[in-house]
Amino acid sequence: MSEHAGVQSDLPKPRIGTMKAALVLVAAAAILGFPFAVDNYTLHLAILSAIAVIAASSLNLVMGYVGKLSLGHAAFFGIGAYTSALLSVSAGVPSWLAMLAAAPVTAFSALLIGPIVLWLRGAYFIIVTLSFSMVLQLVIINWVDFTNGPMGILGIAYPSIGSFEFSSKASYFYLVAAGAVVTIWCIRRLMQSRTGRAFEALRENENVAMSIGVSKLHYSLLAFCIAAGFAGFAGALYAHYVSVITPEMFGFDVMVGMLVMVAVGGKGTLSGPVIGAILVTFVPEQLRLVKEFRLSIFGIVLMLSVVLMPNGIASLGPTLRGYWERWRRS
Amino acid sequence: MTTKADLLQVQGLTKRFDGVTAVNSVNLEVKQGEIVALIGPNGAGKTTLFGMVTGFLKPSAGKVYFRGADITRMPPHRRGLLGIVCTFQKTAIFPDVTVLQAVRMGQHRKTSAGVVDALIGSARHQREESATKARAAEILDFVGLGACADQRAGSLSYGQQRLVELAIALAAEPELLLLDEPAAGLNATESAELANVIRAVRDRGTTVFLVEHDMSVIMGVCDRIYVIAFGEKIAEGRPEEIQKNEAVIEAYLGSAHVAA
Repeated sequence: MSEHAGVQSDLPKPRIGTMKAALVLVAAAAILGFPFAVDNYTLHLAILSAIAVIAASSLNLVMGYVGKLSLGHAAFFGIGAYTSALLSVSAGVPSWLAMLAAAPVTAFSALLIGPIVLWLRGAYFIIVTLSFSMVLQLVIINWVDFTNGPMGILGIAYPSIGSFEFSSKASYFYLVAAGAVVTIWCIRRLMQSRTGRAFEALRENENVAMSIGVSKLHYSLLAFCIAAGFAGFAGALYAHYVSVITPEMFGFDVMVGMLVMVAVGGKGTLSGPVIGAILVTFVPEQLRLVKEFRLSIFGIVLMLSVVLMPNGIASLGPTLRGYWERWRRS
Repeated sequence: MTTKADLLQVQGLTKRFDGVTAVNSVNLEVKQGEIVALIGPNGAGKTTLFGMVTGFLKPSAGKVYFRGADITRMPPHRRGLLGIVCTFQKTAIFPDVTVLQAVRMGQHRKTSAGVVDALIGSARHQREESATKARAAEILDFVGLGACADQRAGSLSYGQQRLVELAIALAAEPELLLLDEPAAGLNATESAELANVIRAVRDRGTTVFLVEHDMSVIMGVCDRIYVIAFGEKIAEGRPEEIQKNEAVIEAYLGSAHVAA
């Protein structure tokens, strides 16, 4: 049976394989050449958007694939940032090690909070996840001895490997770009597997999913922890880039930003959060010319895009292809 | 275990909702390789009884045994893993994925690759990926949806969606397939095709227990029938026996049924 399928799929493979390889090469060249082609400010935005790509892609795992609208995701971004910052500044752990530790620590925090929130449905889940990040923000603000309270943590060092320090913008860009590529690659692998199908089964119909043997708690918790791990990693990358973090990282603004990235880009798709993250990072900056109207215009653009493309910008491709095929046939 | 052993056994199963007894102390059993139907007039408690077998409803009293093991308190997904797979009265599928993908999702129970397998692309992961794809295509051909494999499941016609639902359940290769009114809303031709599919499913080794309204489906397909009315079992037997049974005729036609 499987041999038969293998033979069939072998036939068209070489051409697709070559195209894919070419695409990967072009993308790699674009990433490598990017720092040389743009000014420092654009590079700064690119670094922020690559971090946003990781955060938004991880939120998409819960929101787009398992179908649970979590408003607590900014908290995981914040937990990762604080974990890495505290480890390196207060405990003196090397930056690179602190950053690597941020992901598992954040995933573990999701493992603790997950069983409490994940059995809640719909609006209850949304409200409780939101309260979770708000409560955590209050703890960070008030536990001054441990977190330095509202002043935040200063002087978070750049990571370094041996004698090489990622202190230049170009080197940090390569670091976050690699992080983003690894994240997307992992999520892609995961979604094209038994685990990913269980995630999507839960999103599509919980009862049918349970009927065929998918444990709701097991798989939603798994997605929640993996997503938190990546969000924590993104938070660590952010902390060591800007070198200063404050409790505002847990705030509503950060959360809404992530949500908009996923919704506008297209939830439940691999490219959606990438498109959304880049757009949400860059577009408001380009609107600086119009000063105080900046965010209002951005808001209108977002509203229009959600109304006109409810499935996100990533859905535009398949839709256009559909029109094209229909036009060609007629 | 012999082939005629009880696969499913229900003992004294009772469900009360706020004082209303929907199902009252029902006993029944389904043997390996049988097609057994549960019928009864509207509001007889069929779906409630069914829900307690699938695990979506908790019984007020009584026991459910599968292969002799007590599963009364087992959650639905654990029953699913054991091989008790159900379909629902209102069509329930995975609408926003392709038909092929939906059926692949159904094979969760028969596969075992985990997160690490997926990330490193282990041999098990690769074997299962190609096997599930091939198996899903085979099941779609079996239910007659081979041509729809790449369409969005939610875009199919009502009758086709009912077949997708069946295909998802079959993909789990159930030991016991529970169907809740599979012929609801189907026309005569579709019902006849469904009856053929159910028979073929049994011939492939799956035991079938179904709740049904449509008598034409029942009579042609079932080995045995249980009849319930007002939450109580009123008859059991072979289709031709049930057709002649006085109590059943009374319950369905409602004539002079005042005893309850």
